Amino acid sequence: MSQPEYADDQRTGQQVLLEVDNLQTAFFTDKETIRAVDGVSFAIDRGESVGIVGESGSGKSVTARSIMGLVETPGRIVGGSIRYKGEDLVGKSDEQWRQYRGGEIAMVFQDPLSSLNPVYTIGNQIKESLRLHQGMRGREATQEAINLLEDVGIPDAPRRLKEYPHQFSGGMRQRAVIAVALACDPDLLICDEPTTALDVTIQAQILELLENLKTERDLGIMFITHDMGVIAEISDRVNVMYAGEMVESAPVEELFANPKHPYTEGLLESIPSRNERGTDLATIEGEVPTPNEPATYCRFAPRCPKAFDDCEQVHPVQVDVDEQTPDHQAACLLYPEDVPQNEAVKLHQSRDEQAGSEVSE
Amino acid sequence: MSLYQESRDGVVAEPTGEVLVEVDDLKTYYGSEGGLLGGNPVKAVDGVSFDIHRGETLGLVGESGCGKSTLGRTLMQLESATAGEVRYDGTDITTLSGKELKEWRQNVQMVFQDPDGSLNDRMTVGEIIKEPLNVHNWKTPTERRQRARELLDIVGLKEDHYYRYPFQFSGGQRQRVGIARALALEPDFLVLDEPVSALDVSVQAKILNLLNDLQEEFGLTYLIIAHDLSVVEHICDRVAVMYLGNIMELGPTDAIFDEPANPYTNSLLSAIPEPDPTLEKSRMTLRGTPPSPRDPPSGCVFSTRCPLKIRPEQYEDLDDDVWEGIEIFRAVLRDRGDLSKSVRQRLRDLLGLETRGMDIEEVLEESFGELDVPSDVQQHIDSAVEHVRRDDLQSAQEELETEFGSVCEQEVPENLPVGDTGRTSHCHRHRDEHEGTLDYIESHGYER
Repeated sequence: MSQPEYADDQRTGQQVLLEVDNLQTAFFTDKETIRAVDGVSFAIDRGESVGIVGESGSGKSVTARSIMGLVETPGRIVGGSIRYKGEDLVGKSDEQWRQYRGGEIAMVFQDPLSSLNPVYTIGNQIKESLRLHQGMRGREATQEAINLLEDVGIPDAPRRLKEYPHQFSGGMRQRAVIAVALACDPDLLICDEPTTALDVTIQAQILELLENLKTERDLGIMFITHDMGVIAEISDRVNVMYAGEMVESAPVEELFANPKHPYTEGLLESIPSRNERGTDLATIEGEVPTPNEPATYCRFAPRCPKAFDDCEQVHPVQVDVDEQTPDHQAACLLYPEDVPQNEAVKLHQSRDEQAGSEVSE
Repeated sequence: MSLYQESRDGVVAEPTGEVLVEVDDLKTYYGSEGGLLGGNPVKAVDGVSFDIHRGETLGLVGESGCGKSTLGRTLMQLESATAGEVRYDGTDITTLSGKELKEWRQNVQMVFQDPDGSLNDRMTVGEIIKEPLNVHNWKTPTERRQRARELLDIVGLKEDHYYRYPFQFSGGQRQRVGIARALALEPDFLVLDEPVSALDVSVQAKILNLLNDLQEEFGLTYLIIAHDLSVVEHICDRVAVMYLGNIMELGPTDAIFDEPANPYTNSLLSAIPEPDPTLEKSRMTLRGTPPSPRDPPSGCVFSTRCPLKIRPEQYEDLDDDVWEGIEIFRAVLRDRGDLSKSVRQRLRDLLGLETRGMDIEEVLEESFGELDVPSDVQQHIDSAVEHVRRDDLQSAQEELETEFGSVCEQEVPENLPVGDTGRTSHCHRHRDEHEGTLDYIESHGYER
């Protein structure tokens, strides 16, 4: 892909790598249609790591799979756009999408053991990537594979190259998976809960590694997790997902200091270390609903401590939380904070109708 | 709920100080039977001693593979101990068998990590909860049904969930079913193996609150096994930190989390990602992964990774990076020495196709890089490298061991008391002749 014509982001002055706009992915079953991703928008710049956080069932992984073009039937992308370096990926054939997979956008999954082939050595698997994506072979490929293993912090790389996945420990396997991903020389790395299966000590090593890779290779990273601690550590910007929708989006410091959406507040409050020892933990009542009908109301309203009557009637859209912080959006009728309540509700209503009419065409 | 309350009126859930479980030098080894291919046994639990008081919550933390689950299972007699004693209310349960064991098992129950794997998908929730009652022939069938319904209510489910199947529930609800089943026989002691690690944060909080309420209501004693330290910090009265089959530090939660004494506890706490993006901390990142429990390091089990290892006197002022380099170099040699050779490798060695000393320069480069290594250190490294070139890893390791080794690798530390809270820590640094852990951490610029 040699068309650097994509626009610079005004926000950071960096090149925008990925721009997801109003993405909708649904799964069609006999019983119902599940809108796993329902109008999600966000952007990732070069050298930026964007965190996506939410409970299980909130649609984080489906978002990632949509970007990779890996949504399997009965699911498909039904609307919106995924612009990668200015090119819209939605509607591309599988063959075209393969041009992007690996070489441009690579993905690291939660369980390293199932992403590695047990009957090939680690070296073979890295060299396969190198051959397919960079055309390297033989001695050159071996040398590059050694370099990659060293880059991801595996000691004694030449020997390790000849070993099989089962000879690696959990943390090393995840490093090896990252090495395989890097062998494709991607510009965007999607990490789907890469540290959830690992111990804290190993998790710390992997997070440090990703941070280094981000700066060294100017990678854009999309990091999916449900652990707020990890999010605080790794991301520059955080998007909070709930039942298929993006409910809040802000730079990481801002989000942790001033969470605006009641759901984000609840999530942060239920972290054990934010509660005083020996007291009861704060919880969010109820469970994440399955998004099986179009959202004409706020999906969080039934669990929301701040819900009022309009929440059942009006579907909130992402708006700036107030005038002063333009980089912080929340999808909640309580915002913008600096306009009267009923005006805010009207704003949401009109913006939602606008968006609705666009999509239906 | 009446049934439960009758028998337990007036139970107070405060730790009473009365000892319920006494563990004395407990060892659980796997594969010690030997056999044709049997090498060393896996020392999953290698000599631990501690008490659990009635009504308290003891947390057991450590990395995966440190033996915490095996310890929990041995306390339940799901694994048989290789040596040592577990006294429950005065009786040594490691010697129980048959009828006595079944009788005793009513007192202790376990909640497992994975609610998917521990609930039978072909049984209704009611049947699952009734199962322990059936096994122990508890009262009449009608009363058992009645009891199962009460239990559903106790753990916050609805009574009409009785006829549903586990797959109809969410993860949090399934874990509640697991807890209800564990409570069925009114046990005194519950072992909870990672009860919340498969759940989302907000669901986690609900289950932890439930456990707290149940403890208060029924005067239960908990042993909670977890790798998530923030969970343990929140719910436990005392915490035991395990590494490679040993308990490294044991003490009240406040003491352990506010002022950890053991180097391992320090590095473990240092690794937790804080939910606070403004915090920049210089971590005590641990190198590599824990060594194999089949062949644990001599002396202190943590000595191969310890950032606070005691140095020989003449190297006390050596640059930290050079010292780190020496440690990395030694780790690589150890790693290669441990490598059990496959037949193919032996053949290759025999035919001279491949020597393991081949790329020693690269290892050196990795360990020391641009560092300015003092000549007295360099001379020992050089002579070790010579040994490696001759493919004599053993001598290389010995050379480095005699020069850079210390008490940490030679002697097993005792469990020394720290402070006045009844805390013990398994580390040589607590002895008077060495610099204490806290002082060392401060003087070397680490932060927790």
